Amino acid sequence: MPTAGALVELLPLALHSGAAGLVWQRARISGTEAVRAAQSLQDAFRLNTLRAGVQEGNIKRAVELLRSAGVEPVLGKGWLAAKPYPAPGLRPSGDIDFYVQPGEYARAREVLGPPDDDALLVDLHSGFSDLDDRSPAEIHRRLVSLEIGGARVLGFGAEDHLRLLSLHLLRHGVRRALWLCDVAAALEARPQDFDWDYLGSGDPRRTRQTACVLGLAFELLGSSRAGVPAAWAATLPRWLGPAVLEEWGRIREPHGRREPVSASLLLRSGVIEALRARWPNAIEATTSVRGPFNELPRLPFQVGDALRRSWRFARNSMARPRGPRGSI
Amino acid sequence: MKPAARKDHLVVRDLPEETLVYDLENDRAHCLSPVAARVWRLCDGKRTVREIAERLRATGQADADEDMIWVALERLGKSRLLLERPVRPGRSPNLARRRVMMHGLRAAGLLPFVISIVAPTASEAQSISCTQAKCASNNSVTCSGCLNARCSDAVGKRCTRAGNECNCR
Repeated sequence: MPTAGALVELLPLALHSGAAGLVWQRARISGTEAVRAAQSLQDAFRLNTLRAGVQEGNIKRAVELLRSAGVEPVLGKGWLAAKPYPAPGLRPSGDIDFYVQPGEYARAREVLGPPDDDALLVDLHSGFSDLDDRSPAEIHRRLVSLEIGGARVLGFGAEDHLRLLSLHLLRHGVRRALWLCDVAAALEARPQDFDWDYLGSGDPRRTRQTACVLGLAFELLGSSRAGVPAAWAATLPRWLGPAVLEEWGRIREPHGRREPVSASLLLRSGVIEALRARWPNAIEATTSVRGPFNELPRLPFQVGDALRRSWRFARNSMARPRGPRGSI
Repeated sequence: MKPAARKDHLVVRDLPEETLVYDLENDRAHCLSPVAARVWRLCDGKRTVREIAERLRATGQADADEDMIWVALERLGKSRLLLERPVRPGRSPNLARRRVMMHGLRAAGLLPFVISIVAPTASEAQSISCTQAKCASNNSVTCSGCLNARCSDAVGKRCTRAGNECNCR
């Protein structure tokens, strides 16, 4: 158990990673004086508890809106990831991730309003995102019915959701410790009839990635291996664990929250900072360029991903109409 | 005076050691001690302060008196958890007596506290905890970590930077 001093040092990382509620629970159970030194952790736990309640109301309202337009959404990540946790205060609530069929996306977007004005904070996905290598009919067959805030809502089945959480985690470079906790919680709360063969079906590259994420949960979080088939005890590439720990040891703004490159370029001091903030970690680079999770060095993948992003930025900048001279 | 608790636009969660309340009207979160929570729940608009105190005493809160109820009501009112902010008729207890009373309640663990909870950081809840004040508090490259995040107290606006100034627009 951390000392008060260590907990204070850990505090910014715990808050940034979304794991503050979990850290608070551990500190509270131990009854250490560290709790007093980290009042913020308790406040995070309290806010998580309340926001979970607020989010349930928002999910209910969003589902009612979507159904009024004849759209039946499927819930993933967020609330569904939080479900296996023993208390709602242990995990922060963010957006509501709804997945709708591509043909229904426009209608769904219309009833929810534009993303910037959507007070319900719905992150609407067209299709099944990282699960698009699997049969939609099979995904639909395995959906589960959930009761949220008095409404019945469809959510991904356990196998599909574990795969979705794992692939999403890698795509974002395992940036938040919380996301690996989600995988560990989903893994340990899996139903007795969990279908490991189905978890492994689809694109073999993605199956290998899923196995690596489960391996991270075993290695870094000490998830229980009880009942997990030996085939899923993947050997992790040697670079993967250290890359995750390095990422968790620093605070970086996620995609979509960073200073736009164009604005950074106007500030001389901001250029290097902007480039450093955008340098992909080994995990997101490998995922982004569809590289294999093996023992090969990662630098070529990182360079490749950085070049790909730079090319995309240059192409978009050239395609964008120019404003008056001197304007941003 | 028959205080009435607000019921609408609130999310309430009971934890073993406290009661949490989220006010959807102003996006504020409050934490009520067990005593404050019990007083709040007894504020049905029909009971007087004396009756609330009697009810508390009858259900095991032996130390409950009208002064203690008024302390709770003042705090609940200040947090906008009552339909109307209570005004104590007649003369309030003098400062010295009030201090003695508060000290006694605190020592007995009966202080009916109501505290407001503030979001520890912007990234804690990703896109919903950046406020206008937080966004504008620091014109750094990342606007206090709020850049491009939704402003929770300004619907439809995001924290953006124009020139060297961060604001919700």
